[in-house]
Amino acid sequence: MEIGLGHYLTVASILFTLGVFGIILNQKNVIIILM
Amino acid sequence: MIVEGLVFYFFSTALLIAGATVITIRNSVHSVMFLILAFILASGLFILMGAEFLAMTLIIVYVGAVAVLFLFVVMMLDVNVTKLRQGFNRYLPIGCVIGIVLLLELVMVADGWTVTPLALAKPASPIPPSDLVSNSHALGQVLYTQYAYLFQAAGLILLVAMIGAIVLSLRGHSDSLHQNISDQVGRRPQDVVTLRKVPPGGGI
Repeated sequence: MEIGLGHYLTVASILFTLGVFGIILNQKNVIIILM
Repeated sequence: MIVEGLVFYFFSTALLIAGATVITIRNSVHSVMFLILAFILASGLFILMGAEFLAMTLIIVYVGAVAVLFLFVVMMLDVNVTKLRQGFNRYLPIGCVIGIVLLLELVMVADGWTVTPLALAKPASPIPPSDLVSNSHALGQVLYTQYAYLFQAAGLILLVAMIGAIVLSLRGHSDSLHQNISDQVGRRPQDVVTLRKVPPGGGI
């Protein structure tokens, strides 16, 4: 179970997608836009 | 090694759950709390990578300052939650589509990511190996010497951003205190000074 750079990049990309998804989902929430 | 894998999967799973909760939970204050949890879990991942400086920065700057600022904003603005959630179901499908496309692209990029051996062989600024100094020490050695000008430039950019924020927040407020230069220059003594005879025992 070797944890490489790809694992971290995958987690980061999923988290980034969640952020973009959050902006689209509730358009006016300040916190999510700042995140 | 197996412990590292278990810790990585625990932290990353909890991080993704916390991130998903931040964008879906109804209460804004709870949302900020889950944001703080996400910051802490992300700093755990940084420690796992051996980047303890970034982990501490994430805790001190983001949890200590930024998240607390968000909390102030949320509590002072008194955000109307039901109004915010109006378009939730309407935007759900298009949000899902955009999110999935973006995720696929990012995973494809991360999957095919390779570092050129040339770049690995000749780093721009060789730092001492990590068993000699910690990475905060290594950062400190180059931040104020080799990258001093860039560091100052970053500070100047932040200063300009701060001035911009102040100007934007003052614009359009006629009750704010500001100078009117022509009024000050055109002020005559006879307009503003009056001499009065005050009778003893009486007011003006």
